[in-house]
Amino acid sequence: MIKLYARSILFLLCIVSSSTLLAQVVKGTVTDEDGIPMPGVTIRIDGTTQGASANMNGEYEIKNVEVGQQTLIFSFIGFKEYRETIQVPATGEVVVNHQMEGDAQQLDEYIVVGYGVQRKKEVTGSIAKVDSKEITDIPAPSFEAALQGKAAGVQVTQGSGLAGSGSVIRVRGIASISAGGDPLYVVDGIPIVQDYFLAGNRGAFNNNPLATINPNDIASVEVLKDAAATGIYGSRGANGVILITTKSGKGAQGWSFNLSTRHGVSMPTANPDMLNSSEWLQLYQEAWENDGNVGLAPLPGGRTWEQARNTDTDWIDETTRVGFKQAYNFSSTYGNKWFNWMLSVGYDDNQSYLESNAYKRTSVRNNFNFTLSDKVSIGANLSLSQGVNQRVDAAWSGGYGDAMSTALPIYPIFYTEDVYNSNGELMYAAGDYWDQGSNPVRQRELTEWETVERRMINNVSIDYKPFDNMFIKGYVGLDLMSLDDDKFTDTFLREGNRSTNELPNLTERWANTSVNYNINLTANYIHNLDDKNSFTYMIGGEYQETLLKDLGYVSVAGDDIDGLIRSNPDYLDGVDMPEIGRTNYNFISGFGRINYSHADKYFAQFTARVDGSSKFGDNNRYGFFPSVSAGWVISEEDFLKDNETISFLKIRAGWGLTGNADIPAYLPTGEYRLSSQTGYNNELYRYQSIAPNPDIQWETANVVDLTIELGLYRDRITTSLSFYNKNTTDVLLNVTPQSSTGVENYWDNAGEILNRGVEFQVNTVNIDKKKFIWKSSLNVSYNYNEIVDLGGYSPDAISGGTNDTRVVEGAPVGANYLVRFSHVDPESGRPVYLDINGKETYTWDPDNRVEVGRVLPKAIGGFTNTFEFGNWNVGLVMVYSFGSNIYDSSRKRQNGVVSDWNMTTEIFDRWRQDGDDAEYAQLSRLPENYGLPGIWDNNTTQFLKKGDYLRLRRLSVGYTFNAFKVGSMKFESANITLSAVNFLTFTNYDGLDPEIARDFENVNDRNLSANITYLTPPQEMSFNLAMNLRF
Amino acid sequence: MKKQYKSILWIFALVGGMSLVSCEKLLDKEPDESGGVILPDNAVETPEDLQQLLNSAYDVLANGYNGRVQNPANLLSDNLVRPFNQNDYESVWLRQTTIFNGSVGDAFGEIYIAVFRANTILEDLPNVSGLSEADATRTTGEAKFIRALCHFDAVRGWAHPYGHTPSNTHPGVAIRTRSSPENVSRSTVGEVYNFILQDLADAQASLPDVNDVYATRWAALALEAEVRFQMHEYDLAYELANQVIEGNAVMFDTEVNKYQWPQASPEAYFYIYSAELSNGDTDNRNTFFRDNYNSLGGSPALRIQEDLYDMLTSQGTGVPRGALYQENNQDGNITYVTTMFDDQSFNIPILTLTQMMLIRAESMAELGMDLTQAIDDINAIRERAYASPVLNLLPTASADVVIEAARNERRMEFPFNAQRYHDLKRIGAQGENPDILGYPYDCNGMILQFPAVEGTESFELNPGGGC
Repeated sequence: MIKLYARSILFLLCIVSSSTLLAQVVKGTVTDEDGIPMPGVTIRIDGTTQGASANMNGEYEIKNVEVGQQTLIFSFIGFKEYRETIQVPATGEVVVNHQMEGDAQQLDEYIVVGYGVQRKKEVTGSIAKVDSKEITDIPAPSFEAALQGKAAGVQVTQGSGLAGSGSVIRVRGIASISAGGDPLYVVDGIPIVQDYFLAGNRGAFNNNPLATINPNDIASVEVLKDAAATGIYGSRGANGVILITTKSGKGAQGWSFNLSTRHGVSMPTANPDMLNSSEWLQLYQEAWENDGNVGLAPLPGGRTWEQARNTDTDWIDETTRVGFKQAYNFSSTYGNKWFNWMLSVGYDDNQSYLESNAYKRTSVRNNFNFTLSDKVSIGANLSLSQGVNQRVDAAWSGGYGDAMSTALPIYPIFYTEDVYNSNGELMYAAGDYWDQGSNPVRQRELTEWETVERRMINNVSIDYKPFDNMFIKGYVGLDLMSLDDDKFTDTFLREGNRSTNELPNLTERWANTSVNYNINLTANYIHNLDDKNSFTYMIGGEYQETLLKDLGYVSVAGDDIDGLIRSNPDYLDGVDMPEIGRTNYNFISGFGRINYSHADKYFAQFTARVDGSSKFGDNNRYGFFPSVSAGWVISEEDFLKDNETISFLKIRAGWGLTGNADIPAYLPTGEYRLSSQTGYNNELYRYQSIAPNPDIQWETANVVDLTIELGLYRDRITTSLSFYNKNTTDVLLNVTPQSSTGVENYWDNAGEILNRGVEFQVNTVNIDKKKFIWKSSLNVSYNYNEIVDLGGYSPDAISGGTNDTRVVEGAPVGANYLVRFSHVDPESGRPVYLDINGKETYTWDPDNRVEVGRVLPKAIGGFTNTFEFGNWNVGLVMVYSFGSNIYDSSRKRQNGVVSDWNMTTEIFDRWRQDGDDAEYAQLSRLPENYGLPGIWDNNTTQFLKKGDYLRLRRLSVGYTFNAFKVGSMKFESANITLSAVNFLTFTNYDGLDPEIARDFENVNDRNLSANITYLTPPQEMSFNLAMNLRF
Repeated sequence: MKKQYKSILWIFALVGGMSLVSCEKLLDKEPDESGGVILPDNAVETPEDLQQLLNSAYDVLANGYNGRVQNPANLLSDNLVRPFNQNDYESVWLRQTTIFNGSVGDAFGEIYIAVFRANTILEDLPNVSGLSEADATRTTGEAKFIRALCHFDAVRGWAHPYGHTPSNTHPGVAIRTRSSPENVSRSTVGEVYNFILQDLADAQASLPDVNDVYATRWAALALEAEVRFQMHEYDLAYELANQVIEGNAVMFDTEVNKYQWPQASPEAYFYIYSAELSNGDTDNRNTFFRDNYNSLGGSPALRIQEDLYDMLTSQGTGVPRGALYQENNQDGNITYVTTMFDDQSFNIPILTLTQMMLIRAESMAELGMDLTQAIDDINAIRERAYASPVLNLLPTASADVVIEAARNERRMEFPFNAQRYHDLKRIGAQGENPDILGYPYDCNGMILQFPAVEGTESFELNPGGGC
């Protein structure tokens, strides 16, 4: 290295010393891509103050140029800077002509929009683009996690450390309560089935509908944020739209291959400090004695004190490991004048840090396009992938969750001696898994659990150009999915002991499938009125239909059953899946868009969509969703055109209406259900399950967006600043009415939610030297969220599952609703709460709950830095979140009433004697000593924490090898990157990890309770080595 | 150029038109009936459909009266000690039920789901074609019986007793006469009792005397006897109990244990049935009793008080009554449990002859009637319990002695079905001030709390804060 630099420096010195005092003329003509002379182009001699501007004919002349080697720099806004090294001779002129190339990076960058693409400059909506490299940079179970910190206004909360878990994404806050709050995902033109609750919450894990999409296949992800951008998606655009465009062979010349691999290790970002055996016994005994008892406390799990003292199981250790990750992706592209093709094959084996937990994805993609003639081309994108999730129980369901709760350190993993029952029968032999209390190892080892998702996301399209400027496109998309959740349970786990023999091995399957297709036809016409005025018209029609089948559940038990149905399909011989429910819904839509541009500086857009859906009631079947927006590129105006400082300035503003229709299918018609098996007295029965609601409709967002984009110093600094106001009305509420109605819930369009915010993004090129480039990108988003109106419903009528989050008028969506904890009384050692008036009380009463805390952060963002030194590069991605709260729901038991749960070491700070100023109350096994009705009621602000954090999301070091040869093999490039993910987090949160997306029970829960952790496995930290080879 | 404009217009008209002709019918997606889903319009058309709708009401009734409804109320009596390892029940026992108590909320929910289904029966019945007059009458009677029973258990568990205020204007529960998700305001206890009596009158007029495992006229009469007894209307209670007993619809059982299987106790007028299935399994509708009282695991959640155990085993554990109870000694911790619910399968009587006899006996004593019948009733029960007349009342026993004996027998015959709780409240409301483990009968925690969502501006929840 040092040698290399030394040589370069010597070389430079040579150049400088060879300069003489002689001077000459350098002149020439500058043209644009089409050969038309370009006036105004600046030509400079590098390292000097000499230079000139091209005249009206594109001609320039620089006099008195020093003889010797010189570098000419041609620059003009919107075009690529061009450098040419010339040898200026002692006599004669030098003629250097140059054809400028437009800079795609700046003015001609294209952005994917709904049903088309637009030049970035012309875009009047708010769209954030994330390209393929940024998506594959971060090893994540699915691509959306990589959007974190990359796009202003897009909040990404990664899932827990469980393999294959998905992220929660919120675009510009949250505006939904019971309807889905996630953005609409559109893959190459088809809105995909995105059901997070296909497998309910089995094992404390929600389905991740994006997991089977191979991030390596993605060319770009566009996040559409405001109504001008999402309006074209009508009743489904309100929560933002994420457009995923997969790679293609477009632009390829001949063959090209790419091979990439990644290997890594996974570990948790944090582990809890649970009590060990002697600590737990001491505190349990202390509670027993505090309750007025004498002697030794009876221990849970039938453990004697002697046994307990001789056992000290570290259950965290028993349920975790260092996980290994490996991924291989191969792709090839081919292109000629008529045909282009992209093939990719990927395999990704992603072990988590939880023992026995891994997600394995295998995928194939085939994207191709034929140009049949000047007028017709056809294309197809075909993909097939399979995700196999090797499951473990987590959180409330067991495993690592048990290790933090009911698995006590005094419990052993195995019996150490034979145990007989009172009849003298052997119940447990030495070496059997211990069974008289929580034993996550036993649960894991005697269970085999795999969830297999197979998915195809395909489309075929035909483009027809009947005459110039007219483009017609026909498109068919098909999204097929099957999900088999297979579980095998060993008889020994079911029975619990050897003496009974009633429950043999059991194998189970839950299965779902979905068929989802859309057909659309669009026509585009570019209408150039004259040199300055141009219109683009687009009109389209679309039909989409989705059929979800819940194939139900089957189980087969028997001594000869010894594995999953997946590996032994014959277990299902003669057994049919019962098919317990079909959900079928559709959308019929018409849409249009008109774009107007004047002199390449004034732009306007109008979009409209009419959506009809079977999900909407007879009385509100069609919705109309218009948007209007305009942009003004001020830097194109004469008064700014040659400004040295301001290279780009644009203001844009937009207004529009969009909707959210992510609700169940049969609300308008209602339904009755017929029992699949006999019920009471062995008779079939039927009952009303959904009451009809002919008025049900989408929720409507009224969105205003105002943005200023600014480029400074030849766009070395580019920034954008946006303000938005999103007012959502007719908010869909899944209301729990009075219990005495006998109706569990019903849907209503009521309520109003406000989201208002500011987004700021700045990209800078801090240093741009030949050998050292440093670029930075910072974004900050601030969101204000408020429930303006709830249509008269009480906070408890719309709750977030079992979590203590509620919707309260005047508060943000998903406020924590808790009794306020004040302190521990130094005299009595009892916890002191505040009543509704703020008066201190020893009694916890649900009437004293108040709205506290925020689910959504106030500010989020990311700060990315990349450094390039020659072939080396260093990347640093930081993300942050400020202003949210975390409710650590596990702590109400871990640090609450002493019970058969393990505790964290924080409990050492407990009250013991008069005058103690302790964090936790005097230990007791009786809830009444804490003023609690029951041990689960301990929901107070004592466990509501600040969720602020700044995280070093990714640090990477890479090296790129330029084109090289190995034998006769030519390689275009290769690179190797070492990265560390999530390995440094700055936070005051005293729980596990401040970034939380727990398992959710239902949509409400997902929208309202994102900040609750309940035995949730923390995020993963990983270290990875990635290699990439192009040839 | 002109030609081209025409083409452009044509193309746009065609593409645009495609979406505009979207036929309305395409959007009429209805539930697919193959997956057990039925459209509301076709859901209840035939007599069989209606019968299946009725079955759904019984189905949910059986999911409520499998112990789910009885256990919380029983925890508020003086029969049980602090529950072990059952947090919701522990809170109830501490007289601290809150809006978050899932076990109590579920019990309340099941009661009213049964009411909801009964209401859909009454609403859908007129639309059924080909329904015989007899079936229409019977179905109406069954729906009203279910509705009355559920409202009775709601008002007994979630409100202070009848007679707690002189005109019974204290808050009761919601009266639900329609299957609608609308909020209603809280009715007074008096209004709820009137509604129950009206439904029972209709049920008695409509129900047959024999009706398989379902509600009969005798069941409706027996239920009214319970209601009148709870209302301190001892004359009507006596008359009804007497009428039911003399109807001889059931037999006085020789067994003390009423949780029998596969046949229900022969003295049950109405019971929750656990059916044997064709594959040899049983559709057990007794989960909450078995899971919480089952003594086989060693430490059931629900165990009885020492004084009750002493009463039950006063003649030792060799006699039929005492044989159903056990004393457990774990490291010096003594607990008392019942073995009554150790079997996998048993039926659950709701209305029984023994209870009618005890209502008749106590009512006669309250009314100052000749007590011969009353004393005979009590002695029959005692002889069955002890397999001897050793504890029989003397023929000369006074009204007070008879009343005390009837109450004790009721406590011992039905220690787990909440009779004791209802008795203590009834006695309390007539001014006797029973001591319920140190609590008065009418403190806040002596009634259950509603689920949070029950509360609205016109429905005030029960005051919290316990006793």
